[in-house]
Amino acid sequence: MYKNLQVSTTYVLSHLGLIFFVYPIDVIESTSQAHWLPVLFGFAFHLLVVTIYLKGLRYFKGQNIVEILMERNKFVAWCILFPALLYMAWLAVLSVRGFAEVVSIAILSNTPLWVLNLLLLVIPGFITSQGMIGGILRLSVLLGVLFVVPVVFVIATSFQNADWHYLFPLWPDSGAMTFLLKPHFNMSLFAYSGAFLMFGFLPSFAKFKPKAVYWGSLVLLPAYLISVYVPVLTLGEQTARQLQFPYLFVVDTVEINWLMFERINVFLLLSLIAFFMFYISLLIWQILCVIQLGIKDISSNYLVPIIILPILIGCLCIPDWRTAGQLLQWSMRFQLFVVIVIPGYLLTIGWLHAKKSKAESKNL
Amino acid sequence: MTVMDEVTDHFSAYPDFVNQKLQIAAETLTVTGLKSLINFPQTIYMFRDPLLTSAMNGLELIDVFTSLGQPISVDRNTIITEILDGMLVAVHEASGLVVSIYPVPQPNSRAISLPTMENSIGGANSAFNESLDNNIMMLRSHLNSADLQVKTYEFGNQVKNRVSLCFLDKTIDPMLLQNLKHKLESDPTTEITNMLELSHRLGFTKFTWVTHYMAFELPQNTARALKNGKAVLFIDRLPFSIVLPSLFSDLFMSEDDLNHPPIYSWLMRSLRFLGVMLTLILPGLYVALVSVNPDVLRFELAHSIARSRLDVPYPAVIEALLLLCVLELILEAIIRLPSSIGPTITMVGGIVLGQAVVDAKLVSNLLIIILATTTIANAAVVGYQNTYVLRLFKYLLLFLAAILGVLGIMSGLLIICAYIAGNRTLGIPYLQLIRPKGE
Repeated sequence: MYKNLQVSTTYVLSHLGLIFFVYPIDVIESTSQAHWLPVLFGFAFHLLVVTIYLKGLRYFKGQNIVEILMERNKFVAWCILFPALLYMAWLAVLSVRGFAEVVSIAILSNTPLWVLNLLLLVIPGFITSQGMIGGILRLSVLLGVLFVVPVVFVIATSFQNADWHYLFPLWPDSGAMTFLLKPHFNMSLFAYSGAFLMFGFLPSFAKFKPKAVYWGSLVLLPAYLISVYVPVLTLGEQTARQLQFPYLFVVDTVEINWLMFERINVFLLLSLIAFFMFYISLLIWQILCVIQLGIKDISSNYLVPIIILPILIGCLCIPDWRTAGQLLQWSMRFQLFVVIVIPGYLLTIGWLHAKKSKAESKNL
Repeated sequence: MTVMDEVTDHFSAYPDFVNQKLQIAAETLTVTGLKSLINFPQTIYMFRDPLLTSAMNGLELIDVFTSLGQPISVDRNTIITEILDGMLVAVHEASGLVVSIYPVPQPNSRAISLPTMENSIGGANSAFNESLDNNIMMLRSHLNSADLQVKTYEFGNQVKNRVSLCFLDKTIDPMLLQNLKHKLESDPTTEITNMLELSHRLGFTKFTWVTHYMAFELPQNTARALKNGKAVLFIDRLPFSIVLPSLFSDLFMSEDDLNHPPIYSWLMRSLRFLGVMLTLILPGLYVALVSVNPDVLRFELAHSIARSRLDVPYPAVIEALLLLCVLELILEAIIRLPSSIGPTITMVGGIVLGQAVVDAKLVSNLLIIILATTTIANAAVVGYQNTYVLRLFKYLLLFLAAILGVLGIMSGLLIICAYIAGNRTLGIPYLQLIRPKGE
C-alpha cells in the first residue's frame, strides 16, 4: 500500500525540528552576503544525496537497507552500518542535549537539565515502542495537522519587523564560494543530513513514490530560507551574527496586540520540540532496526530502554552548550562519511545487482 | 418412560410449562412449550387451523403436521433446548414424530422507539432494542443489499446467548473479517453477554484507554459503518450495535452530518475537533500558565489571574483537581438518578456549589469558567464511549502541566497522539479516516 503522504510528512517534520535552531547561525557565520547561496548549495547537496539514496534503494524493492547490506558481505555491511549506528546515536546525544539547553533557556529555567534530557528521550522512546514504524508514520500526519497552524502562524508573523533593505546585495561579490571552506558551512549541513537515512529503513508495507519526497523537500526549502533570512532582515547581518539562536530571538520580539499571549515564540518552540521528539523517535527506531535485523531480534520493549540509557548518559556527560558545539564540529567528518558513503555504496551495489539480474534473465 | 415423559418430568417444576393434548379427527397431538415465551391461544389457533382443514382439502394430516415446522430428533436434550429457545414442540402420538414450530412469541422487548443515548437531527429516529432479530430486521431495512451477510454464533454452556456478526461481503477489509471470525469461533463455550466479555474474547487488553468499538443505537449509523467496510456485532439483549473497529474519525463524524449541507457538516466537525482540543488542553493550560509559565501570558491578564487567586491557599493543580473531582461526581451521579431529581442535582452542583466555592475563596473565578468550558466541550464529541477517554486524558495533561508547564502540555499531547497512532484494533490501525484498512 502506498503511504506517500505519511512518508513525506515524516520527512518534512523530522527536518523541520532541526532547522530553526543552530542552522541559521551557521549559515550567517559562513558568509557575510547573499546567504541564499549557502542555503541553496546545501539544499542541492541534500537533494543529490537523497536522489542517489532513493535510486539505490529502488534497485531492491521490498527490502530495507539492513537486509540489503546483510545479504552481501557481512564484513562490509558492518563497516557501513556500524558508523551509521554510531552516527545516529551521536546525533541523538548532541541534539537532545542541545534541545534541553534551548528549552531550559526559553521556558523552563528552573528545571534541572537531566529532567529535560530524560523527557526528550522517554517520550520518543514511548512513541517508538508504542507504534513502531507504522505508528510513527501515522503520527507524522497527526502532528502535521495539529501543529501546522501554530508553526505557519508564527513563521508568518516573524516577518513583522523585517527591513527588506537587508536583502541586498542579492548578488555576491567575487570570492562568493569561499563559504564552502568554512567549518560553519559544514556544520550547517547537519540540518540536511539528520533524517534522510530513514527512507532506507522503511518496511515493505510502507511503499512510497520518490515524487512524494521531492514534493516534501519543496516545503522544506522555504523553511531553510526563512530561518536564515528572517534574522538577517530584522536585525541585520552583523547583529544576527552575535546571537546563539537568532531565529528564536527574532520571534521573541514579535508583538501582536490582539493575542492574549506575550511570547509567541513559545508556540513555535513547542511545535518544534514536538517535531524534534518525533525525529528522535525515528532515530531510536532506526537504531532498533539495525540491532534487531543485524544482531539479535530482541523484543523492542527491552531494546528501547537499552538504547535510551547510553544516549541519556552521553547527554549528561556534556557539561555545557559550548562543548556540545565543539563535539558537533568534530563529528562533521564522520557525518560526511555517512552521508556520502552509504548512498554511494547502495547505488553501486544496486547497479551491479540490476546488471547481474539482467544478465541472468538474458541467459534464461 | 418415553422421551416426552422425561421432558415433562424435567419441566415439572416450571410454572409456565404447558403440555396440552389436542384431538383432531381420530389423531391425538401433544403440544408443549413455555407460556412465558409463547402466546398460546394465538399459536394453538395458528397450529390447529391447517390441520382441521386438511381433510377437507384431501390432504393427509401427518403431511400437513410435518410441514408446520422443522422435524427434530426424538431426543430429550434437543427437545429441552428447543423449548427453552421459545419454540413450540408438537408430538404426533401415533407415529411419535416430533416437530418444532415457530410460534407467535410473547412480546419480549419494548416496541421500536426513540434512542435513549443518541440524538438524531434530521435523520431517522427509530433505535435498536433488546431483541436481536428485531435489530437485524431494522438493519436490513436500512441496508437492503444482497451483500449483507449475517452470521449468528451461540455462546455459553450453562447460559446460552446469541451473537450476530454482520458485514458487507465486498467492502470489508479481509484481514479484519478473518481476525474477527477467528476470535469469535475460537471458543464457543464461554458466554458473551456483555461488552467486557466480548472485549475479552476479541483480545483487547484490559488497560486500553481508547475505545476499540463504537456502540450505535441508530440503525443508519450502523448501516453507514457497514458501507465503510466495518464489521457489526449484535449481542442478544443489548439494545445497540457494536461497530468494529472504532476509528479516529468516529470522534468527529456522525452519519447525521450527511443530512446537512456539506459546509455546515464540516463546520460542525471542526467544532467537535475544537471541543476535543479544549477539553484536553484547557485545565492543563490554566495550571501551566498560573504556576509554571506566567511569563507566556500578557502582563495584564497574568496580573488579573494572579489577583483572582490571591486568597486561594494551595497550588493551582490542587485547586483544579478539587473542582474537577466535584464535576466528575456530578456527571456520575446524574446518570442513575430519576429524571425528576436530576435538575436538583444540577442546581445544587452548578449554582449553589459553584457560587459558594468562589465566594469562600477556595478556587478562583477563572477556574470555574475553564472547567465549565471543559465539561461542555467534552460533550461535543460523537459517541459516549469517546467522552470517557477525553475525561481521562485531560488529567494526564493536567499533571504534566503542573510539573513542566506548557512543555508538559505539549508532551502530554504528544503522548496521546503517539498512543492513538500506535493503537490497533484486530490488526487495523486506529488512526484512519472513514475506511478501515490493514497495514
